[in-house]
Amino acid sequence: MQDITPDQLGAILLLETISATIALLVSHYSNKAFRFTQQKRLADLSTGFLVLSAGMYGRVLGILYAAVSSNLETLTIVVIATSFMRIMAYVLFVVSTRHTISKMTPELVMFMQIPLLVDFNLETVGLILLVIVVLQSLMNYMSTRSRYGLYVLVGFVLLLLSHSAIVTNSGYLLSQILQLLAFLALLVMLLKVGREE
Amino acid sequence: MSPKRAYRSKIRILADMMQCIQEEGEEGAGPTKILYSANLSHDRLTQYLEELIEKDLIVQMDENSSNKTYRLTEKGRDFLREFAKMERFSEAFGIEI
Repeated sequence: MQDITPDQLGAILLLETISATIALLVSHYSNKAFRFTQQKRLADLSTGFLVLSAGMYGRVLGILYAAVSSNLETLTIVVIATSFMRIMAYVLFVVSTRHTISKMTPELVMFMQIPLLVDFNLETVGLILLVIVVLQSLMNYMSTRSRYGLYVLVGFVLLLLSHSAIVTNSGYLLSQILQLLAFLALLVMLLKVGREE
Repeated sequence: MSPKRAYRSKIRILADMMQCIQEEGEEGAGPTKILYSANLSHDRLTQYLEELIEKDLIVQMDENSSNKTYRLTEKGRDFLREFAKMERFSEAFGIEI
């Protein structure tokens, strides 16, 4: 069982917060595109990123609360609830794209162990859904050869690798770094879409 | 057998019409040019032209002339710029608009 130090936990929560904020931005832009075009799949995409963002913010707040209150039950509920939210978000992606922390005591370090932060069954379901999303993004990129499509493909591949890192027990911090890189790829796409003529 | 025609959303048709008008620049585009370029029936063309004028996206250049020509308004150019952004974003996720 891999322990997480307070510093690592702080970094994990910070990375998750940044990723959640980028997901919220993508959701906002998708919603803007939906209102402009009335294309329902953009509304599904927006809802997907919104649910994903809410899940990530919820996870950060839940872990913080559990850490402060040393409440294991809360942590379990938060992990299961946010994992379900991720799965909901990935289901919406499949549908829409078809073609931190105060100083902790040593006891808290013991209490924050990777298996407590992850529900492996739900992560596996998320992984399978992401494989479908990646395949759909790949098909889209192959047909359009658009560099914006490439950013989305890279984003979803990195998100898949992030989940793989959890399922294969390669490290929760590594998974968070990969997740952040995934959302940064989407952020770059978003910025380029808005700027280029 | 004729190939199956891809579904075009209303916003896509309006953008196609406006792109045709934009390509003609300050001289403006006539109804026939827009009709062929946007691949529309005459009835549909009339209906959509009226809608574009109503929304201030295009204007008829010389209202007294029998030869109707249309040009884009500033609002129309903004619309096309915004449409291009939304199109790039949607296509990145494999969503057609």
